Amino acid sequence: MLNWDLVANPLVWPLVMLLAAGTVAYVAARRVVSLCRVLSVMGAGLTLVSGAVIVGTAPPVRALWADLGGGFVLSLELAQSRLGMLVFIASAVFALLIAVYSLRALRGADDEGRFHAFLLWALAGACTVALAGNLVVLLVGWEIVTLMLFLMMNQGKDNAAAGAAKTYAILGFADACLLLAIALLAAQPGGSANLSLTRGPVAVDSYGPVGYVIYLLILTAALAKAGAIPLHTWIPSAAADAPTPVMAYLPAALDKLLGIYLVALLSLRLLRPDPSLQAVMMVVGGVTILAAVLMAMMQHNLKKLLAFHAVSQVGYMVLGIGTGTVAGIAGGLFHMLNHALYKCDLFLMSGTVGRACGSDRIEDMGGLARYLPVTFASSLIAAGAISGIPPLNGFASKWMVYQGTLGVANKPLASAMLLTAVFGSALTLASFVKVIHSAFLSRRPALGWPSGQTPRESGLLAGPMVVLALACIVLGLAPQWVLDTVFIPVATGGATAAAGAGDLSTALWSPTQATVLILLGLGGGLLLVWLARRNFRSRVVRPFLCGELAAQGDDRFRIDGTHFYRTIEDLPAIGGLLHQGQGGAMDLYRWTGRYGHSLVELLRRQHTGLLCLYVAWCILGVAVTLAYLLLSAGV
Amino acid sequence: MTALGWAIVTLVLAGSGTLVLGLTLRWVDRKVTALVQWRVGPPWYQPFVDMLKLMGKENLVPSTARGTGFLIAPLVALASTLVVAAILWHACFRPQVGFVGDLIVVLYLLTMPALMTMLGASASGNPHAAVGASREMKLLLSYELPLLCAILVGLARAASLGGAAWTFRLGDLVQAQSTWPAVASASGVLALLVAIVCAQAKLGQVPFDLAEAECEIMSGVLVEYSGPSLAMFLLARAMLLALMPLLMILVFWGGLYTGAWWGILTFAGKYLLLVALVTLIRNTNPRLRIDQTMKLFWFVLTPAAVLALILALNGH
Repeated sequence: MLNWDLVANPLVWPLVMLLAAGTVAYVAARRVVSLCRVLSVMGAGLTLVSGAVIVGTAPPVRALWADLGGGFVLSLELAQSRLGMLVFIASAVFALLIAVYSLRALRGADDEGRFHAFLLWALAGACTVALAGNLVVLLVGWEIVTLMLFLMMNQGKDNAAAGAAKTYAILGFADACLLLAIALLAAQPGGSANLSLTRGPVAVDSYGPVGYVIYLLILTAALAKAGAIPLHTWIPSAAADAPTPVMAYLPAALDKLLGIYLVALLSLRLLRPDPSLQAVMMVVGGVTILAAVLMAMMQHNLKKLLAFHAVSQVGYMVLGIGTGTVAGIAGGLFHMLNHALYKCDLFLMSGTVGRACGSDRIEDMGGLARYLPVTFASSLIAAGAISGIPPLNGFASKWMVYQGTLGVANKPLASAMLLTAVFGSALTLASFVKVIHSAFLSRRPALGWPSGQTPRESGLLAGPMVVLALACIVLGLAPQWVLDTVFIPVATGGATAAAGAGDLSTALWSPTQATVLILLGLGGGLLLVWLARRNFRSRVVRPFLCGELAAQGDDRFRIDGTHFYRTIEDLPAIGGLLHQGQGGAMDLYRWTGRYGHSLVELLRRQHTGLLCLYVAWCILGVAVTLAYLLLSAGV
Repeated sequence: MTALGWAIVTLVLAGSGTLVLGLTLRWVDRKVTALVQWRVGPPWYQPFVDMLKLMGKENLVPSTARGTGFLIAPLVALASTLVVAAILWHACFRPQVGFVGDLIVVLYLLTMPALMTMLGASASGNPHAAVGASREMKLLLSYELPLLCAILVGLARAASLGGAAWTFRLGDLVQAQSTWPAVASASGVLALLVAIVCAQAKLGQVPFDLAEAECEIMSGVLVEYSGPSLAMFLLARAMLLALMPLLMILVFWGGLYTGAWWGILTFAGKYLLLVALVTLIRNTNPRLRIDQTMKLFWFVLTPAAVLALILALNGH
């Protein structure tokens, strides 16, 4: 029977629209690719509009799905919340920008039509997660996004299938954790009401030890999606071969939003963590920041480098939420949004640069600032934002995370985490100095351009990057509005520590004032120049090379940035760790594969083909089962 | 006066004051160096006329450079140093009122001159500059960790002295140390010593001048700079020379806020002592290689700073 309340509710419309548009695009993928392009841009645009329309107005919707008995009721619940709507709207914005970017970047690719279909379905999944009123609905959207990620990654070149398989294995494990947590939660007193995301949190120990298990299971699922250590390895593995728009869309933007959204839901609406769980989160955050950024510095492949940064930045979010202070939680959630903005921009940059140079290897890049000035400027802003250069948005949220960390009562832990976080930020800067130098500012290598033509800016490629870079500036200069509307109310509702509650009212970072002062300083500098010499002019001369004359295309005088940090690799202790990390020592997937293989080998040896052996195993099994049944019945 | 008006006045006053102070300190530095080397040394106005002369010179841009980035970098370096000057002097004279940013903001703004040096060097397209930029970055990584750790010691001491929560607010740090400074403890002394070495590196002074290293890489990061652009970088450095001792006094040594009339005298004494130390270190040490520098900072000074932090957390 059709439930009219459900159909009439505006919360359902964007989901239905996206699923339908995705289906049409999938059907038309082979024949009418232009229809797919129109559908994806229109679908994402309409979702954005519908998000703006329904925010604050649409009532929650609840429809019975199935009564499974024993107090467990499956119901379709959708409700909007401040944070959920932010994730909804941000996802639609990213989908729209990626759809526009792909119009040029994927033009003529084999699977272009299907890419657009998957993009729409993934957006539908993300919106379902954002609007979910209970964990079951959330799981459905969550699975859709995982599946779409797998399908989209498979469209890449060379080894994309291996990366996609690894991704699916890790995320599938994470999703199984989420499913198990749901089952455990529903088995507790209260039944399926425990799954509600609108009810408000209960203390994690109110379910006894099972509460901790549930918390850790959901945390595992969320962190695997967001990509925190040790479940991060799918991102770098997938990065090298997956299509760039896919990396920019899912691992860089949507997966971060969803993963951290689930961490926030878990801590603020389901189970209120206690100090020990918060300490676990903080340590996971700190380790993620440092280990991933060190790995990133050593990479020679631009996309892999960005992928490791995408992991590292998750650390700040988890650390912020783990502090349990208002400033920390609000900062961590704000960082989630900021990170999605600049990392999406940077992945798009890697796509444009890779296209221009015909390679993702940093050694093969160089000299692009002259030919791609818009890409260069927007990448510079995004690189500044990820390194926390004031007054960009990355600094605003990192600043809040630091304030939150300082408010943690456990001072040794807080000090260690602060050191890690601030030092991680310096390492991030180092990594991006290398990228900006190698890709844009260093001299062009002698091998020339792959297509024989000098690269030119394309509006469809540069447009989305400019939008994202502008968003980084605006959110950095005027963060107050989005903080007051979304993040601080959400954090105030969920903070567990009294410390830090007041530190935002006395907040001491005024980005607007600082920017005015920096601009004034710039003006002062210019004034000095002007005072000293009214006709300030420059003369172009040959670079000083100690008398050597560098011919065109002479690579002796070209320093690419790949060896900038060789010194660190050669240091005792740290160098060894880095080489082990490169070899996959941190990769749980690899370890599981190795031990799983040994286990399978063991089982294989039992398969001798002798009937009596199989019968013996069967009898043994029956005997054990019987013994268990008899003992548990108390006979 | 509105907040913004006040900020602008502070910026102008603190900026011009620091500029003059920094250039004067540059003279002190050169004079002392000359005396150590049995020379007469320059007259007091030498750094000022050097700057004026550079301002009047032609600006040379290498043909390999990305012009905009190359020319803007020194301006941004100077501008961010000016803002740091405003924040620090404000905390010195009016610790009870918050202003623009706290210690975190100062630390991040203090990396801007180094970052701009690297970007400018990279934009010049000169291989010597590129090597210099990579060294500058590694130098930044080296001193950032122990410096931060030392500063946390200051925070911990201030919190236990003032009996309040840990804070990044410079004004609160200064006020918490109004009766007894953070340096008056085992952890405080150790942290201050570490911070002094870090300041030396931040200033790019010998033995940590490897990003310039005239005799190896021809002034490295600055090799292509000339005229007004070079003057901007040198002005920013001169201002940093005035600001680093000030930062250390604010975090470890109670700032200007002593509550007594002779506060200003003790402040001047502390300030001169720190400047003298910087000059002394510079004149008695040869330049280190980059790997030696990194080992020194990560494997000697960082453990020392961590030890200081552990002591501070236990109330020593």
